[in-house]
Amino acid sequence: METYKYLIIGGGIAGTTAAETLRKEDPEARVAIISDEPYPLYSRILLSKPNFFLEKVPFDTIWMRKAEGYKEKGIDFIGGRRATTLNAKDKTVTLDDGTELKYEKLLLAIGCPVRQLPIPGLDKKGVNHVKTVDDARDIITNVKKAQTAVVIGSGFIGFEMCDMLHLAGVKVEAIVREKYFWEPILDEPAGRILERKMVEEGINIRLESEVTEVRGDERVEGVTLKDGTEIDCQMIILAVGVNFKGEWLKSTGLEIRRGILADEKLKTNLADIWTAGDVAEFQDVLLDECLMCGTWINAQMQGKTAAMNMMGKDETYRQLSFYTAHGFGFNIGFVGNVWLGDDSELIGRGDPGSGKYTGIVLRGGNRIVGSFMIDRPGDMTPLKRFVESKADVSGIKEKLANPDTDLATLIGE
Amino acid sequence: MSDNKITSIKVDRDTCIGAAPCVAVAATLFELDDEQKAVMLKKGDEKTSDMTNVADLAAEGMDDATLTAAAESCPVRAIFLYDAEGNQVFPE
Repeated sequence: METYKYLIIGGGIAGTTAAETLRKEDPEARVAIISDEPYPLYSRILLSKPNFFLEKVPFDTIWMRKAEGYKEKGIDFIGGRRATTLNAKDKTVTLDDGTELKYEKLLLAIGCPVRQLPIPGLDKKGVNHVKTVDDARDIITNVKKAQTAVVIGSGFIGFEMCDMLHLAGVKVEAIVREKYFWEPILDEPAGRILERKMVEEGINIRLESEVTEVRGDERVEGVTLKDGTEIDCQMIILAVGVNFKGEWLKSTGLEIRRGILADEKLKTNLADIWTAGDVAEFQDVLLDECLMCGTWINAQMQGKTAAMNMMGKDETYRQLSFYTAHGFGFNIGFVGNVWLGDDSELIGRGDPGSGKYTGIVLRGGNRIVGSFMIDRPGDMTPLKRFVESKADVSGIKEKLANPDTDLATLIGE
Repeated sequence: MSDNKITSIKVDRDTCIGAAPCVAVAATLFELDDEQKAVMLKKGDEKTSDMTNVADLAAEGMDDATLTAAAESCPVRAIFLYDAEGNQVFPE
């Protein structure tokens, strides 16, 4: 049986960064990455970008490592193999071809699988998730042949895919289960700003709608909605988020909630096992809560922190999450945690009618924990500082709400 | 004389999405500006995304390995590196 000092399950940016960090800091160590995809690291971020899909940049732009690069760095890349069993007591991992590997330290950087919808007919050709490079290849082919596309879901991926399909000249039918676009990540005024522009551009948004059936023989020919409406389409994009269950990990005693539970050092409840990236439900020391974060930079930085701690260091993961989405001319920024809980409060900043609007999320009435910004990118840097500082803002709520106030001048007040 | 071939660097602002791995990899070279786009820190407190001579960067020790690592980290390939003849060295 092969033994690795550091075994990493997951070949995304978290797993790859961890492996490279380990080999750099511990050049003699045996390090392996197990990936269920046969490819070297690629950019999942590009998967929803129009420049890529519309082939304005070469397809090969997607590759972020060369296949031969792993060997050069002393990393065994075991691609196209799925880990099926973890035995934390014997410290072994079994792969889908029966291979058993022994580890001293293990990193679970396995990402989150896409949410599966119980809709009959989703197995037809022309139905795509937006998750892997194979999905991307398929979508690029399908876009060229489609007159109408149905996009299911109105989050980040749904929004950017609507934009891409629209730019490609495809008629877009957006099927949204919620009352407004991007609920509940955005508030209603923000969601309506996007809807107005998307409808102006010709997107048909069907709110409070659900697909109940996909029609067609081998290929998709249309969908039927809950209210009986029939829409003809030649492709469907599923943009309904992720859902991690991790059944194969539970029998060994790993603690799992929405993701793999970890402390602020990314250590799981089991000895010698860490986690990083999208799948980690970690103790965030900046927001003082346990949460998951699906951004590229988070995965990269967590891969590094986990690797350092696997080598015996004692590093706390301390990064405020932020990301931006682009589409229909909008620049939409997110900072921290914008989910509204029982003790949350949302301060609107700016007139939604102007199309420029920021939502600031407070927790406990006094502390900023997150924000979204529609075409107000200048608010992001000061809002990051507010969240990081954990400052009491209970006395400056009116100033925060005034769009003409420079937020940077309020820090420290 | 150094062995470094890379003499200039630029960020394509239209492509940049402010994901910021470049800042994580080379914090003395990059930061995000008010539009959440990557800018390079130049000598004299200047900041720009435009084509910049490596010698004019504020950070010291920006050798080929460091610059390439920063450019390679960009998940949308918005960072471009050039040699003295103006040939694009990265992306290859």
